[in-house]
This record gives sequence, C-alpha cells and structure tokens, in this order.
Amino acid sequence: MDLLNYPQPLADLISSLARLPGIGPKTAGRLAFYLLQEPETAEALAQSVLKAKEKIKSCSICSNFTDQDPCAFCRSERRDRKLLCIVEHPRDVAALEKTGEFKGLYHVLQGVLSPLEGIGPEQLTVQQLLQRLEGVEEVIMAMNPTVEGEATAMYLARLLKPLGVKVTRIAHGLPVGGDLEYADEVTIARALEGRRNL
Amino acid sequence: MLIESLRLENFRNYVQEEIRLEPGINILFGENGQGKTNFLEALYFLLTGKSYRVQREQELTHWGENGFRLQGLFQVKQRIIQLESRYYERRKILKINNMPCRKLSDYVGTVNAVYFSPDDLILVKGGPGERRKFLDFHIAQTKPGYVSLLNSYNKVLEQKRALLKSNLSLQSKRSQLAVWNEELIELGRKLIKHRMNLTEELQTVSSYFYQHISEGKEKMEIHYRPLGLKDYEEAISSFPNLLIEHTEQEIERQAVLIGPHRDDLVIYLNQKPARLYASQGQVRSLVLSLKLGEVQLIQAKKEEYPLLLLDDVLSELDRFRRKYLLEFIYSSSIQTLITMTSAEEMPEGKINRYYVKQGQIRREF
Ligand SMILES: Nc1ncnc2c1ncn2[C@@H]1O[C@H](COP(=O)(O)OP(=O)(O)OP(=O)(O)O)[C@@H](O)[C@H]1O
Ligand SMILES: [Mg+2]
Ligand SMILES: [Zn+2]
Repeated sequence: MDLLNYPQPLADLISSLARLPGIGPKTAGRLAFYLLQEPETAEALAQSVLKAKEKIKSCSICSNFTDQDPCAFCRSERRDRKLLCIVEHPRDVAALEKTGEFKGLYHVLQGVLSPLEGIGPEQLTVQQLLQRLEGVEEVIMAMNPTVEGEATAMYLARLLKPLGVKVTRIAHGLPVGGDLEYADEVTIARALEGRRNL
Repeated sequence: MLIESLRLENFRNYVQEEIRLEPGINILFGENGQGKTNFLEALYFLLTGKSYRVQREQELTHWGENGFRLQGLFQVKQRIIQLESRYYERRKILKINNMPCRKLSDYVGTVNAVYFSPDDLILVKGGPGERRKFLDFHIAQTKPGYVSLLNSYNKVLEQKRALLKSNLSLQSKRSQLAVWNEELIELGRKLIKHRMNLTEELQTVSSYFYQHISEGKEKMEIHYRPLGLKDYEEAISSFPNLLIEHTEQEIERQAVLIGPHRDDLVIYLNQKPARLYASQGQVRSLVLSLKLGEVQLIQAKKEEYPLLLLDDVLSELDRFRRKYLLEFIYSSSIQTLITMTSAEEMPEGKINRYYVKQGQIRREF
C-alpha cells in the first residue's frame, strides 16, 4: 500500500494501526476507512483507548493489569491463597480464567528470560514474587512452552524449591512453541490438571 | 513417489513456466546459466520449504518482483498430492492440497527427494558442519518433529551465547547458565539420538553400495561422534559433567563449547579417515554411496522411492560409476531429474528430454 496516495492524517492512522500485532498493511487500511465512515465508532474507540491507558495500572502485588491497586484477584477472599500460578503476561491470566478451573492467585512475570533481548531476572517481577510466598504451598508455572518459557520455569523452580514451596509445571497438551493465549479452554484446563513436579 | 507437473512463477530466472514430467529419467539440458539448477532448486524448495543454496527467500525471487509461487502435482502411494509454496511480502505460505500448514514440520516430508550435485563432494573433505547439515536435512524429511527440535536447540544455543557475551556479573551469568544448560542437555540428547540412529542405518546401506561401486576392493564406514566421544551411552551420561567442566572456558571464550552443534560424522575408508586420505575418485564414490544410501533409507521408511535430483553429476562420474548409478535408477524405477549441458552425454535407454533456455523449458520429442 502506498501511503503517499493518502492525505497525511489518514496515512498516519493507517501506519499506527499497522503497528498493532496481527494487523498487516491491508487490514490497517480497511480499518482506517471503516473508522472514517463510522464517526461514532471512531469517537468511542478513541475515548476508550485513552481512558484505558489512563486508568489501567499494574497491580503492586501480582503485576496484573488493574484499575484498583491491589487488583480484584489479590483482594478477593474467595481465591485460594495457597495456590499461586505464574504467567508471562496479563493476557495469559485472562486465558486461564476463561477455563474456570483455577481458583488460586496469579503472578504476572511481565516476560520471560531472554539474554538475546537483555531480559534477566531483574527485568521480570521475580523480587515481587519472592516477597509474597507466605502461606503459598504450591506454585504452578504456566509459562508458554517455548525454550525461553522452559528456562524461566526452571530458573524459578531452582529459586523456590529451597524455600520449601512445591513447584509444578502445567503439562503441555499445548503445542510446543504455542501460546497460552491461542490455546482453547479445554486444552488449558487439561494442561492444568496434568501438571507435573519440577 | 512421482512428480507429474511443476509450475513456477517469478522463481529465479523463471517468470512463468509450467511443465509436465514423466516417470523414469527426465533430462534437462541446455547451456550454462539457463536455469537448469534453478529448476531443481524450485522443486526442492517446494518439497522442503527451504533452499539448500541460500538462507533468504528474497534471493530466490525473480529480480524486480516481490515474491514467487511454486505449485506441483505429485503422486504418493497412488494418491495425488498438490503442494504449493508461496513467498510474498517476506512471508512464506505452504499448502498441502490447498490447506495452509501452520508449521514447517507439517509440510516437510510429504514428498521426498534426494538432491545430489558436485557441491556435495564437500561432504567428505569439508568441515563437520557440512556433514551435520547432511544428517539434519535427511532426518527433517523423515521425522516430522525434527525441524522443531532442531529449531529449539538452536534457539537455546543462541540464548546461551547471548548470555555468555553479556556484561552481567559472573554470579548472575552462572545462575542463568544452569537453566540454559539443562535445556541444552535435554534437547541435545534427543538430537544426538536421532543423528546416531540415522548414522547406523546409513552405515549399513551406504557401505553396501560402496562395496559394489569399488567392486569389493574397498570398505567404507561412517561413525557419528557425539560430543567428540565414541559411545552413545557415554556421551549421554557425561553431557552434564562436560558442561560443568567447561563452564570457566565457555565464560572466558564467550562460546558454547559443548554440545551436538559441534559433533562430527566421521567417514572412514579402509579404516582411515577419508577426509585426510581419500582420492578424488574415492570421494566421488563415497558421496555417491551416501546419497544412494539416503535414497534407500527413504524407500525403507516411506515404502516408496524418493525423487532423485542429479545436478551436473553424470559428467563428474567416470564410466563405471555412471553405469552403476544408472542401472540402480533403472532397476528401481526411480523417477529422476538429471541436468547436463550437452546432449551428447545422454544415457541410453528410454529418457524424456527437456531443453532449457533463458528460464523457459521445451519438451523435445
Ligand atoms: N533471483 C533471480 N532472478 C533472475 N535471474 C536469476 C536469479 N537468480 C539467478 N538468476 C539467473 O539464473 C541463471 C543461473 O541459472 P542456473 O544456475 O539454473 O544455471 P544452469 O542452467 O544450472 O547453468 P550451469 O550449466 O552453468 O550450471 C543465471 O543467469 C542467473 O543470473
Ligand atoms: Mg547448474
Ligand atoms: Zn494483583
């Protein structure tokens, strides 16, 4: 798509949209034209993007996205505080919640170990994790089954086990290299059931 | 396995071409630089989603275009299979019977081929990397999970290398190295097992071929050396210790010194390393035996012969080896594509001839 053929503001909109994950130049163009033809949708979208950006913060305990600190999970009386599930990103919390199988608390790492990208334990929420282990009996590693996810799970297991916590890894009915986010609910539920000791 | 037709669009010097191929021997002939090798490369890419010559698909795209498309009709076990490989806007799309494949490993190996060109003579005299590549390409074609195993292993290697090169403190390097090593061991052991299994199978068939080609006078042997050791069990059990012993050195040299990414497949001729002692003629016989071994192994696993692609090979072989090869092809009815520059060298018997000129192919009757 040749952006020079469009007026500047339209070209800017298209290239902003094209920067979003999963959206190529063609789709970006379609979305931009749609938004211009539907002014109300465009207005509402713009508002909610700004509002979400302003209101959503990271929970100071678990690092999940929230509009109140601590987040609803961390405040809840109904969640099982003996179980802690570690995930890479906030979107993985949503994927696990959809299964309705898990009743414990979450901890969002904000990524995985990746020396190539300069990401070590300090760049992740490992310190926060170590500070919230009181009363936790089992920590479940639910990182994606990539080599980086595995390395991170092993790293944390080595850190946590000496502290007397049981560490398990969700069984991968998930395809290797696959993302939690894209797995269906049944697959995730089964993976949770069949977790193994690390 | 049979290829019935191949269609090329903007691949190398082909703009738009489609040809039908026949069972048996198909000869592509023409002057230098007309597109004979490109045609075989196209077919090989269509089967494996990769080129053996280049890493970047852009180089395969006809100059000035932004992508290419290859389509072929094949026959495997009496069933018609359509393969399509398309490269467009830096993305590769692979389809079997019009169904897109999500992973390369779902696609590779649907139809098999063995490719042989004079460049393969480097297998004997070149470095270990060439021989590892030879093993890996073969396993990828016959074991569906191997591509992702290899990719994962390489990813771990890259991460470990990055860690060794980082300017983190010695202590944090060590604590993180432990987990990458653990993965290196787990994936590395599987890699070694696959390669050793293949080597053993290949040893049996290839040494048989070599014995015949050398008229019973010489003996070929191949041995995989896991982690530089002789024995599989030993390598598997000492892998963790070797890594620990070499940690200091790895940190100092910022390189991953232990693992199957450094293994070699040693080829012996009459009990001596062929890399050091084999003559030119012996090198040709060795590589021919390895390639025919591959053909035979694919036949054993898939219960059908793969396609055989011989690029400029006939002119490289002396009369005896040439005759041996052609007899093998005829007696096993292997569909073969052969390139050559002059029509005079053509083998006798029933052959189909195709004249290649400037990215166009004409069947000659
Ligand atoms: N991406 C490309 N676009 C257009 N032409 C290309 C491209 N890549 C290579 N070529 C051309 O293809 C030709 C080489 O074709 P090929 O290697 O198939 O020759 P050949 O027929 O096998 O010759 P030889 O007998 O010398 O081996 C060269 O003329 C080269 O310039
Ligand atoms: Mg050539
Ligand atoms: Zn929280």
